[in-house]
Amino acid sequence: MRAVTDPAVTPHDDDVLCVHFGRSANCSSIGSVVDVLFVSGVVGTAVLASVAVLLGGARDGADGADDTGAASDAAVSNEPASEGAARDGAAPLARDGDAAP
Amino acid sequence: MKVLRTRAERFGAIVATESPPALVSVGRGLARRLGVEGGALWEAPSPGLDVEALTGPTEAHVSVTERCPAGCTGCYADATPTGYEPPFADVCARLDALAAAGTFAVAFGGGEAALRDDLPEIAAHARALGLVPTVTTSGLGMTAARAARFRVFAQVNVSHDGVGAVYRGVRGYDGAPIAERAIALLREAGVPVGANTVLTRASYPHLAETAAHLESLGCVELQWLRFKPSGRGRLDYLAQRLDDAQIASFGATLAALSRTRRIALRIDCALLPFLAGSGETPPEAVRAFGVMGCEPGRALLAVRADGRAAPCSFWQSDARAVPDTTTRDSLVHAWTDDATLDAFRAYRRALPEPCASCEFRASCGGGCRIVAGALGGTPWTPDPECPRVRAHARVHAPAQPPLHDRSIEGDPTT
Repeated sequence: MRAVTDPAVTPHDDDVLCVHFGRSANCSSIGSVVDVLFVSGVVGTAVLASVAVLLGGARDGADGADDTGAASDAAVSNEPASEGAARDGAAPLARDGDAAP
Repeated sequence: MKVLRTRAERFGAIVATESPPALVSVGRGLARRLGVEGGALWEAPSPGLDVEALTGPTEAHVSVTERCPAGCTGCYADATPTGYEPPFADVCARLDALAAAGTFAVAFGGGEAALRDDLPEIAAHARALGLVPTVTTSGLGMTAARAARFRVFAQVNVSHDGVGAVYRGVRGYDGAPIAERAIALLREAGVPVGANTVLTRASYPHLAETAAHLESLGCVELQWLRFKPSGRGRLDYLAQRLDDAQIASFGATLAALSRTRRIALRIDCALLPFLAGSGETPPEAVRAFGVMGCEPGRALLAVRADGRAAPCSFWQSDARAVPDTTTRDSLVHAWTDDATLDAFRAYRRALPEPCASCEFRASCGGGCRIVAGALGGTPWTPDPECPRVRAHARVHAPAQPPLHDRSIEGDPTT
């Protein structure tokens, strides 16, 4: 898996091409989570890599609908897993200086 | 990571996940390992993410009423207390059509959608179809019992532009207490609550304190919205829109808040040009994290209260008396055949300068067509408030006045 770094490059078949986080709860205009834009490139790439791995894990589970629980939340959360779960996965993202549990 | 649904695309597939909620676009190999077969979609070489149109909308903005008693001075929908409200069965038929088109999520709005007594049942119908339902509300009419019925929603966003005079400055009345009561009731009911804040010249200086306040109220995310010259928003647009200095500071303001606040921050499609012009983030990151600009006809479809498809909720039409003609087939076909959606795609396909050479063009799509139409006489011109467009114009038309001196010409979005 690699992060897409150049839109002109034909993406590899096994790539996560992009991740659009959140529930898009606004009715008037399409919105996007932006917190992850301001973390380091390393952290951003790690988030994409985590998504690819976790998607693979989902397929390895029950018919592509496996919930790996706190581990998946932790990959993209800026909070401890328990707190992130309490927020019901509202798309917080890892930030510089935050150690993902 | 729980996979809710997958949908084949020419590049591979879109995977809808829950916990965390996301739409993940993956290549064909990964899609195949997830059980997706692309069939005819995968016969030609993959175009990557640069597809003119996805196979269907990823999200739809569905107006379930044109009624609202609030009378906000800048209401983009021009909602009134006596506006049209479609019957329950008609709204459900539209949801059936959206589900048939492969849509992942529906965001209900209006008017004041939350004042429809049957809104939870409408959302339940969406759930049954595999759609993820959300709604935006001012908070009017919220009670504890009603909040409990809103558990059917994946998230409820409450409009909140700032405390006291700040809120009043945006909407013409102080609705903050109503919004905050609704936020509290919804949270007590266990409903995930987000907030929407409209960015105007008056609200912008208070964004940090508004974000802190909404975080303290327990909102899980905050979405910033660019003020649009649509509906009653046209009347006072020139006085309300952000000025040059505010636009120039937008990216830094967003980055600073993102680094200091725990509330998740979102921006709407029309704010992407301001972020792109700030230098705060590279285009590769914007691309990789699916930050969306103008998406009608590619990922977004709006459905008006009268049932007609529209490119986005701000797109105005004179033909308000057209009867409800929504059927399952008509909405599905609108995605592929509608002339207005085709016009949006055509504009993205051949962006003029300075958008054509902009590194953010694939995500941005040329800025807001609503603003371009209101200020430029036609929607098919670059967004005149984009910093890059303004810099380009200074070179080619040095007499361009500052933003606060310009006027709205005609109504090209009709």
